[in-house]
Amino acid sequence: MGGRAHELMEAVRAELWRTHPNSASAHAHAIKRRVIGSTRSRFWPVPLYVERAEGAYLYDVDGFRYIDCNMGHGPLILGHRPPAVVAALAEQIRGGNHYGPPSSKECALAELIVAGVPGAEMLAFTNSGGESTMAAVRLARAATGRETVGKCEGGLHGNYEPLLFNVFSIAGETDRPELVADCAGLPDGVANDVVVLPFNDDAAFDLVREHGSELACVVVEPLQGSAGTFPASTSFLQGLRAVCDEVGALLVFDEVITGFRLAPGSAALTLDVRPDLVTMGKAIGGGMPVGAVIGRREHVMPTDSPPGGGFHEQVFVGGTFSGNPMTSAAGYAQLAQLVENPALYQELSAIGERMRRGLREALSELGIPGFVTGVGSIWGGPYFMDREPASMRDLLDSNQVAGKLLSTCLLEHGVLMTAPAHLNFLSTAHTEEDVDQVVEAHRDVMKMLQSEGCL
Amino acid sequence: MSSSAGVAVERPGAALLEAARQELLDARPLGVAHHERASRVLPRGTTRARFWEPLPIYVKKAEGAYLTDIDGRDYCDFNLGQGALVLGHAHPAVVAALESQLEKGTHFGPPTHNRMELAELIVDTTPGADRVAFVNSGTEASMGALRIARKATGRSKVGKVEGGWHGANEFVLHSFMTLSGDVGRPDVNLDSIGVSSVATDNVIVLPFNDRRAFDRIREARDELACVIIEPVLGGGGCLPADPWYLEGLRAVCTEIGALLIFDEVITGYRLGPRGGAGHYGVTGDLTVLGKAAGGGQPIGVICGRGDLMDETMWPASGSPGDAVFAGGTFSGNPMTMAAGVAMVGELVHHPEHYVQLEELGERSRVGLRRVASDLGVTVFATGVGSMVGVHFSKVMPSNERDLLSTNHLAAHLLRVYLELDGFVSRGVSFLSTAHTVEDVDRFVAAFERALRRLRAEGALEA
Repeated sequence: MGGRAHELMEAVRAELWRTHPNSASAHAHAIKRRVIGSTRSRFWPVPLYVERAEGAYLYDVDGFRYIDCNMGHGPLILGHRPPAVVAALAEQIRGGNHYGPPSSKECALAELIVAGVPGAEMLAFTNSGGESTMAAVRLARAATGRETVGKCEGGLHGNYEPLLFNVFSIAGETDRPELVADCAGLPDGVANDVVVLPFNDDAAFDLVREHGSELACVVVEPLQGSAGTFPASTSFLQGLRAVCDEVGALLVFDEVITGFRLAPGSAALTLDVRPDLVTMGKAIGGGMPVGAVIGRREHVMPTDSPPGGGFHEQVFVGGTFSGNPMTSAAGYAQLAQLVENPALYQELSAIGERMRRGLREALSELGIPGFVTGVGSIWGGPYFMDREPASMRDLLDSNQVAGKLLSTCLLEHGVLMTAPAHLNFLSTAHTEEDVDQVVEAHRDVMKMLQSEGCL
Repeated sequence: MSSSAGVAVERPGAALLEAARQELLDARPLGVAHHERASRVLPRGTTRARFWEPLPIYVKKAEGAYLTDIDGRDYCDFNLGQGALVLGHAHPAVVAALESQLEKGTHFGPPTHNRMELAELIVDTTPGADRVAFVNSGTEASMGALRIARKATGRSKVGKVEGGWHGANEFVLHSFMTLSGDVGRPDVNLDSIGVSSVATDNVIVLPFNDRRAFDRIREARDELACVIIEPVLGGGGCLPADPWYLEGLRAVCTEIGALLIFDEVITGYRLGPRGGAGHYGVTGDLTVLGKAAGGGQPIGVICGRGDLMDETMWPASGSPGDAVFAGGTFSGNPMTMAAGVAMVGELVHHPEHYVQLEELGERSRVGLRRVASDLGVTVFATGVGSMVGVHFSKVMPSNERDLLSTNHLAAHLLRVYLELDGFVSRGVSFLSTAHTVEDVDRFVAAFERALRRLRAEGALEA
């Protein structure tokens, strides 16, 4: 960290602690008791404790209001506490939050999701996006009789062992990344099940061919989120589709972020590419924990054993809380509103575009070299660098210290973003004025950082 | 269709199954219609349809010890959300906590106070737990615990017992129901298709309640990172570990430098405020919680020794690959934390609940045994506290092998007959503080009616 940037970061954090005594004392208590191991989350520059939220705003325990640009890491497309979701949950709480046999509401949510995925017929629910992608990989292995999984550099797919490679780390040549485990404690041999592909790079196709005979599937995010909000190019996805067909592997879209975020369903609705399996999470639960694996009947049906069949005849998907009534109620309420009002996506795109344009104009006015990524209501950055980034690898050249400092300073301006701001979300509750305020706050902070020599 | 049905009827029991199925269909016309609709988008009409053959109960609402389905039929519920609801459905404390959190918002990025509250409750009660990490399910929790063990020991393999259930985590998704090999040295059998051979290569299956497990562990001393075990096998049929067995596992794990992981997804806050570890007086290095810890909201918890968790999950420095990853958008979400604090808090602060749960459980087991004995039928009731297993095996089961002799036809029909009679119970039954002595007595009476019918139909001879 540059000397001045470091000093500034410490000064801003100290000031935030001083002005947020309730969060500070909660944090001090957390350090003293030390029951939650990590007292500094990797996402938040200072741990502000949340009291409540409404619409586009989040209020901390010290009474400060923030324009929320994180929206619970994405699920809350209609903002915090949309009336339809609140009403559905209030009713469900009274009717019992959890059952063993299925809730009568599981089916309605499944229908809305399936209808939003071109070519899909069925789904199975899990509890998280990560569990869904785990299920998708197993279904692909069952369908192909092969074991190896292809994934892209920078792709974040949750908790499943073979997908925990090259999530955050970069190694090897651009067109041929070197395998790096981004999680400790993975078992021996898992690395042999993984092929890491470059993202948005045609060199991926030859790698798929090279491993063709052993490859069960390629898992790809139509928009890489954690990596820095980089949409996959249509030609890249089309190329993956073609080469997967060529080698007989399935193509899996991880749409935990993009599902019902860019369109009323799968990103495939707006792309000329059809995956074999789609995984979703986040938005489809209306703010409750959720995951789903979605596809054609023949691909999803094996998640349950044939009547009277044994465990060894199924692709195991289970989970005490999978398809639970609270998630079903909240998810249905949120998705129904989105599906019935597709114009909401135009509004979301309009404010997303306003955000990106505003931030780019601010960079340009201040003469700061930097770039903003994203599509629809999702954006990443600004990334302070000279060349427009198209992948996580490109961000190696960006000034990450300045990025973290920017997010930290924005808290003082009433704007909540992760640090650095790799993946940000808007909701239908955000107004043009909210967007303009966020842009203005960026402009003020960037100007200050510029004058301090931090950019 | 007609020809295959004709063939099926010739199989023993098929006619009984078909008749029972027809009775269910007749009793639940709206359920049948919903099942048809749901089967178009969900495999056989719901996630986990395997539990609810041939026709799932589609629940409309629940309160206390009772469920109501979409046909308006009431059921006294001995399943309780697969065991999660120790206080019963819609307990006032849980309802109030969820309503209050709903007023504030369901889900945020940054943390809330109640995350700390639940973490403190867990650390203050769970033996050996200094630190807590929240995830979304028991499955995710056991995945994390195994990684901590591998990182801490530098070894790769995992020991699990035959009949042990640890969720969809493929490294332990073995030899739960698929049993073979020498009793003292069971084969490693996968319980799912679509799993890489890497998983199977990393599993050692141990005999349950069998001293030969200790030798097997010693033999694997250079490669075994941990042994994971439920103190009472839950999905495996409410089969308690013998105290000497858990004590022996503890000793031999310490001896060879492997970690002992207690999977208390079912037993945590069900057997007592200190779970199975408290019940047995044996402490694991790591503990995995789920179900009850979230008050009915999705949850998984990894907790354990501070030094272990600090070094593996939150190392002071290093690259991402030096830390065990346990992320998740909804991990530690405020609704789960609120419901968890309400349920766990109620149970921890009012330990008399466990006296009631023990009484209800024991009354169930005693009642079931009395009925079996009166009717001269070979049925066994197992379990501890509020966990009750019913088994049509030839011997009193102490491990999963003993259950190979199970009359599955009778077990399946029993569940269906109980459903027709207004009770939900899947072989493994759970009780809650919302259940009364009368509920238990009515359950035992329904069990007797079902047994008489099974006997009259000749289903007990199969």
